[in-house]
Amino acid sequence: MVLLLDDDDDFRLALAANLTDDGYGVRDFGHLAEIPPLESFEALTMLILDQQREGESGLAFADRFHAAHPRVPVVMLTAYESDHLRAEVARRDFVTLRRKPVDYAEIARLLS
Amino acid sequence: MAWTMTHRTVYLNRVVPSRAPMTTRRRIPTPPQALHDLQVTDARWQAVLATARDAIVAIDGEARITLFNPAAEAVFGYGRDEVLGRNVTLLMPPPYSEEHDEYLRRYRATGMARAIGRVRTVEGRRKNGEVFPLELSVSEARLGAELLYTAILRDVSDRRAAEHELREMQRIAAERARLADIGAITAKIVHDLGNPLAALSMQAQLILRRARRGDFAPVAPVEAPATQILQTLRRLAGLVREFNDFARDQRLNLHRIELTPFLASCVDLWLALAIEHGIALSVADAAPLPALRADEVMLRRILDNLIKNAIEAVPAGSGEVRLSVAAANAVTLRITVDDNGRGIPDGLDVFRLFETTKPEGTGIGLAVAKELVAAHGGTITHQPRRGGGTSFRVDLPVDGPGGRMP
Repeated sequence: MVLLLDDDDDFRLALAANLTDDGYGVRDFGHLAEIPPLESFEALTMLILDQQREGESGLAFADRFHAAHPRVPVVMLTAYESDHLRAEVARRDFVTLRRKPVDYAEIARLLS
Repeated sequence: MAWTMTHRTVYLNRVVPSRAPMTTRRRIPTPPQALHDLQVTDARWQAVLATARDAIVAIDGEARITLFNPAAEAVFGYGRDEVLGRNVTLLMPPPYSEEHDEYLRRYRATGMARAIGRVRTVEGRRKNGEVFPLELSVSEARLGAELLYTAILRDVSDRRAAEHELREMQRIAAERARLADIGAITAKIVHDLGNPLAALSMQAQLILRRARRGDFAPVAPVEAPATQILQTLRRLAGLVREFNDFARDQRLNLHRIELTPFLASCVDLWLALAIEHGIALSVADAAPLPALRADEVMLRRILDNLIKNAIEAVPAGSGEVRLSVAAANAVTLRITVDDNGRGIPDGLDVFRLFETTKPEGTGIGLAVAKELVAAHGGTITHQPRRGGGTSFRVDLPVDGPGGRMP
């Protein structure tokens, strides 16, 4: 099961469709408020989320997620890659940063 | 007993302003007191001359130097004895030296003054040949038929240099502010374009994958346009990526880099494209050089932009792009990228953001390169090559930003 969190509906639904086509189960959410308690997710393969969001940042959410699911890798997507973000990601060995637009083949490679 | 004297005698061969002709002899009614007063006056005059911070130079009506104070010695580098009696044009570079005699002649004939009674900024020439800016004020004294001129000269080299430095700092600050504004706008554009692009790209990939998997029949009519959409989106994504690179912070991660193998590695990335277009892309052999202290990622971006620019500038089939590195001087390394392309039109500032002559150019690459070179404390310039083409030169302080540049 892939947990997908992105407030850009077009991107999120297209990525979810690609993942589903490849046989992955996907739970996707556009807003933080819609997400159930993190501890309630089971058998997660990966968290894919966008950095830029209203309210809690992607990194802060990733930290909370990691506390609940320390073995599940996180892929952080961003449309604007700043040096600050790269440095913050480098401090978290469970997070991989990719810049949008991203090739689905790259997501598939990270999942495998 | 009466004392008689001339000004020349009493004032130790220095000419002082006086209304009396130099040959006039005066009768002094009380010789000991008068002599004492004159000696006191002379001592004061000598003290003023000796301690004045400005150069004081007097000339006679024939432009011969008659007075040259210690400050003048320090400013011009001549000893007093070297210049007394010589024409004052000795202290001037052309065109002042060539015009001075004519100027004096015209002044004597017409009374029209250019320098007398006002402060002018002119140029002086030191004994070592150095030309320097100075402020000049000239006063005139008339001894009967004879005209004497006294000039007070202030060396303003340091002030000029400080003014130049201040102007340069203001220019850099303005440029940085402009780039910061552009950077902020660019970051916003990158973000706002990046998301819909990402969505379009992901949807196009979905269509393509499904087409190839056989969900559509026949496949070919779907696959070709979907592939084209994806290629177009990737080109747009590349453009957005360039904007992103431009908007990024420019903090440096400095290491020592051996430039010759580094240049070869930069060229390797572009070889396939160069071969595809029939362009000879090469790195010249270099003598052993000290390693450059620089940010490797940024240096690679500088060279990527220059190589890409050169490849786009040269004709397919006969183009040549050649990289080389050499010591520009003891503290500076120079990387040169030469091409045999069409050259750069006069008046085009290729380093200014969005300036380009290429139909598909963005005008970002060289602006980025200039910023990154500046962040390293270096300079980037270009000049036409003999026989056609352009030579881009990147001069970088070997010890990195803060390192000495001549």
